[in-house]
Amino acid sequence: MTFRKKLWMTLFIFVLLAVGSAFSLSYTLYEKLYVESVKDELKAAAENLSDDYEGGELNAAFIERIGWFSEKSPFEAFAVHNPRELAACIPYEADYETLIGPEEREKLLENKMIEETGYSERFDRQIISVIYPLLDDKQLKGILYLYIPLERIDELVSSLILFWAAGAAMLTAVLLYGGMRWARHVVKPLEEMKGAAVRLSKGDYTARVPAESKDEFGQLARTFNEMAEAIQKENEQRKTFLATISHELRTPLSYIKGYSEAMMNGIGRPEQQLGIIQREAARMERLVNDLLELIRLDSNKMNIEKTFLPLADLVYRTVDTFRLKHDRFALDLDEETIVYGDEDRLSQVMTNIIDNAVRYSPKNKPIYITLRQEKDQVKWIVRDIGAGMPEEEIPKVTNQFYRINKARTREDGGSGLGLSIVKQIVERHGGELDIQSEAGAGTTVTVTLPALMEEGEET
Amino acid sequence: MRSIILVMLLLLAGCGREAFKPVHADKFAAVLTIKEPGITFIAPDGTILAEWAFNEPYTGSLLFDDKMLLYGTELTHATLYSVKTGKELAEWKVPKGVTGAAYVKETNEVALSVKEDGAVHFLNSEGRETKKTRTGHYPMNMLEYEGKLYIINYRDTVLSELDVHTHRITREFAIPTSSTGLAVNKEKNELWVGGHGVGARAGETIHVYSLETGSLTGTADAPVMPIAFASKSGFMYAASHGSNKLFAFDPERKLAAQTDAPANPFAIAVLGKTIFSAGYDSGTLSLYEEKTLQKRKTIDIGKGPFMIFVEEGE
Repeated sequence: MTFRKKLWMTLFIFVLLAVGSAFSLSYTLYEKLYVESVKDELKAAAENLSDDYEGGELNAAFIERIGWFSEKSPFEAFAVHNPRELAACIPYEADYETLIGPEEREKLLENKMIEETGYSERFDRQIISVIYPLLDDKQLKGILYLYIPLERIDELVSSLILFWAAGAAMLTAVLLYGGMRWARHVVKPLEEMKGAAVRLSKGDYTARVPAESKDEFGQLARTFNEMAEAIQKENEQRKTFLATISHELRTPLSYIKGYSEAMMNGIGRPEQQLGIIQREAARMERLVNDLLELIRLDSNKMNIEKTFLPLADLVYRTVDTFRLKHDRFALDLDEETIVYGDEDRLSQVMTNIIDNAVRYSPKNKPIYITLRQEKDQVKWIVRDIGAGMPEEEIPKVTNQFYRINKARTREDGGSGLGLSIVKQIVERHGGELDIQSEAGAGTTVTVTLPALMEEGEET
Repeated sequence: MRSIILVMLLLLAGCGREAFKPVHADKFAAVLTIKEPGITFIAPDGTILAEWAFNEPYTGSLLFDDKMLLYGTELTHATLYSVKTGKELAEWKVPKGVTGAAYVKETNEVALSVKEDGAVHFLNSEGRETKKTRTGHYPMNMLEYEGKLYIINYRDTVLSELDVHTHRITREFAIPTSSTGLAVNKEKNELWVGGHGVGARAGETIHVYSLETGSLTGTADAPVMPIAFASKSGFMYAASHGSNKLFAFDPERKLAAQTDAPANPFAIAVLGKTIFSAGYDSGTLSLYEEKTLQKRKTIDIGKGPFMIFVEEGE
């Protein structure tokens, strides 16, 4: 059963319940009120009639008058003065059914009216009755007995039922038609979303749903769209990634293939050719290593083995490995800074950042390296006065295979994965990577790591 | 502490064997009320001598020999009290369904009419049953007169006459069903029988039988439903509870006087020159002059007065 049908069924049941209970409630109320009003009328009539009684024995004229009233009014009425009927012989046992019982007689003697609703054996039907005492100084001279059969009330109520049934049927039809429309309207966004999800699952990543409404369905649609967008982006990135890798691998391979063929055919200088082949093989190795590392970082499979690490020491050692390529480093290091981190990974971070600085800086321009602690943070800053980059490029430099130099000359180019790896490692250490740059003015890279506070507590 | 327990024990014992206020008067009337079971003793002038209240649903009683016997249709025991001391004398085991009682002075026996087995049970002064005689359906009102016991069978059409010595039925009188109330007019040797009527039709006539022949000798009109009688000096007094009337008939069975009775009178009695009648519905007792039925006094008596007994003294 579809959700729409379920919704409609629920509505249907609710409508039936509501109409049904409204009906029974009003029926009961009507009957009750009507019975009450009839009772009141009976009582009033009995009281009026009793005013005609002037004491003493009930005379024929009075009894006749009651008979006349009974004929002219909707009620049945009669006066009884036979003491046998009035249970006067109690406590002597009666050999027949009296009109009233001893308890009723007691009540009547106290000048109290008796009202009864229910089955009367004497009249063999359901009646509403009122018994009014006719007292002459504590003597029960007679009673007025007024009653109306309940069937008459039922007849009245049954005409009401017709009206009610017609009204209820109309109301039900209107409510159900409206409910059907409403259910369709409610379910429409869900059906759209279902369609979009199906398209998405079949590879159509452009599938989107309208998300105008502000309710939960609108929110769900927006989230769905965001999800679809993320999947689409991921898919595009995957494609780009694969294309880039193929391209990156093909370039050194074509070098190797070309120069090895030349060597086999005895063209050119073999030493130079071997040198190129070796250089390109090394580049491929580096590329593959970087890729593996990135994949491990991406899938959280890389082990980070944290130890207490004096960061200044690590900076010195890393800088030393670059002194052959670049010898102008200006160091300002706080030697007290200690972080809790993986030595190899952080060394890799420094190598990659300094490598970039060295690569894009003229040899005669200094590279400034600062290490300092600010409250609970350690800041490691590398600033060069090199080529720099336009501001809009900055957010992209941590993307995989992104290079400022689009020509991809292999002379100055790395794998294009360096800053991606740096970002991942820094984030795995709970830190941040910040890059500020200006074209022609240089670049400042700041790595912020949580400092190790006293007693070995990491903040 | 011990004395408190003692007092409580005495109180508890006192509750169980409570003595009612004794009645030392020679002449009095006693009225049994049954809606709220009790007996009220009245002096001839209408002052209340004593009021006894019971917790048991007594429906009838019998005054004899300075003793009051109380019984109930639903009870299986009857209780005997001394009027002079107000103390309980004995509790007799009786059959269920006692509807009436009479004292037979000659044999010092109490006769109880029992509706369950349609018989009259005779009990000796110890309360032990000596004999029972079946009479008819629902024996009820009983009257002892000159060695004979007259019993109305309420749901039957016969009035039984028993010999108090042999306990045997000697005669049967034909009476209407639902007959209630009987009295003997000693001067005329007549038996007066009242009644409620048959079915929904209310009786209006008193049937008078000759004790000599046993046949109906006449009727007296006393509408509606004459059911209680008292007689003195040839006069017969009747209470009709359907019309709330009292009637006085002279020795010639002529209506001498009639008056309004208390509401729904079930009992009438003569004490000295006073007629007593009590209204079951009104709970009042009225005192009237004999013969003229001039009302002298009305007093509240308690709920549901049903029987009146008189003690004339010696």
